[in-house]
Amino acid sequence: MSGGLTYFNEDFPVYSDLVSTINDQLQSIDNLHVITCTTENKNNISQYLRAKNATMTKYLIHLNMYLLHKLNYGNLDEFPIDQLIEDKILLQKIIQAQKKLQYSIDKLSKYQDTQTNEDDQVVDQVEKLSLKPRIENLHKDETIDKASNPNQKYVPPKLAATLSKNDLNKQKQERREELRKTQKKANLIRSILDDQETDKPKEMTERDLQQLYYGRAEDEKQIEKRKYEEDHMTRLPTTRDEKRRERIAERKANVTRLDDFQEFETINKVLNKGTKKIKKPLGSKLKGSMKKILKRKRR
Amino acid sequence: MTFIVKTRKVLLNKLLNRRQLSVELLHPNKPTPSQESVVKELASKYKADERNVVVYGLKTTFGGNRTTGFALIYDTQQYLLKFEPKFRLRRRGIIPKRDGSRKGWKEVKSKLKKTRGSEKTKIYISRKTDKREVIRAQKETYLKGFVGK
Repeated sequence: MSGGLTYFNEDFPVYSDLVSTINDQLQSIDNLHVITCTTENKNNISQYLRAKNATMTKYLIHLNMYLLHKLNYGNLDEFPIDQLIEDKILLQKIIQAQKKLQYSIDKLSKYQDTQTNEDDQVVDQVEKLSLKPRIENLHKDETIDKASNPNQKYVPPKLAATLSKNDLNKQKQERREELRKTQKKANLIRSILDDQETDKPKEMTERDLQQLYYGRAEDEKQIEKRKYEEDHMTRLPTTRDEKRRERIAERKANVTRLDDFQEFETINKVLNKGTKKIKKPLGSKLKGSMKKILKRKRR
Repeated sequence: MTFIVKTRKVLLNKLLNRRQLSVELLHPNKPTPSQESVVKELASKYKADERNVVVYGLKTTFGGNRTTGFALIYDTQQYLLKFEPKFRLRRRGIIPKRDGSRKGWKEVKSKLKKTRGSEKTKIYISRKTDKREVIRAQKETYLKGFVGK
């Protein structure tokens, strides 16, 4: 009993101070509520604060009763402990919710401080400009030594490490490579098994077909014709347009070949078709003394 | 073998007792392979009689090196005779070819357009060479001479 009392006597002044501060806060909340506010949020906040303080005082009162009951060796079974537990849980929840409302509460308290008059009466209208942020109160970095920056130049902050796009692309590439490796192995095994099983010719899949026709300029009509022929196991007759296209393609293909020199002969023949060979006069090929003999004869 | 055979859309047609497939031949720097060579190759791969294999529609792509075609592999010769069209049987020599000329048939056709009734049927019958009974008889004679492997 004496030990408990000594602890109680030591802590009692602190406890009494706390209770007095709570009482003061309650009064300030009442003043807030009196102030005519235009927004709804401020009314709600004041109500919230009143409720919070009321629950705190209730909890404290119950705690006090519990302590006194215990000190007087009272029967604790008779004391409603559930109520204490309820109040404590409520308070915990309220304090968690207060984190979200902290900004508006700070604004309100600031607003209350700024509201002054000559007669110390509360002003009705809100001065929004008074709630502007103050650059003077910006936190200054006192860790910067003057020796390191004698000129006190602006040192930009270091950038934090972040995941670059290259890293993300690398992951994708790695996955693709893994896929390719597995596909290669699967193809190898498939080819080995196919060879072992039967002598039947290799069956082409649609993917092989796509690879075959990849890059070829095929019209929709040609594709449709090919598909129809394969599905119905027939050959459709070639149209005039197709024949014309084949002829044009042949001509184009023949021009691009560089190793076939026969074409130059044909080209020359075609070019020189209309021209006649000019016959040189007799004696033009002769040289020297034979020329003189001929000249004499003509004379 | 001077060419490589690849198949596509292999289908087992139980109604017509045959396997039908589209064939792709790869023959780089070589001319188009003949039908007989293709038939031999397919018969050896699928372990069938050469006489039961039918290849048609061989078409080389522009530029060469690749041909596409179709193939039918019948179970027996009887089914082949039953289900194959007459023009293909004529190509093989099972049914003899038609007598007469193309021009003669066109003349008959122009006559048929002008006539009506019983006269029309008379003209048609006189010209028609591939009668059902005749063809049946020709097939039977062929089968009698056919010796299976």
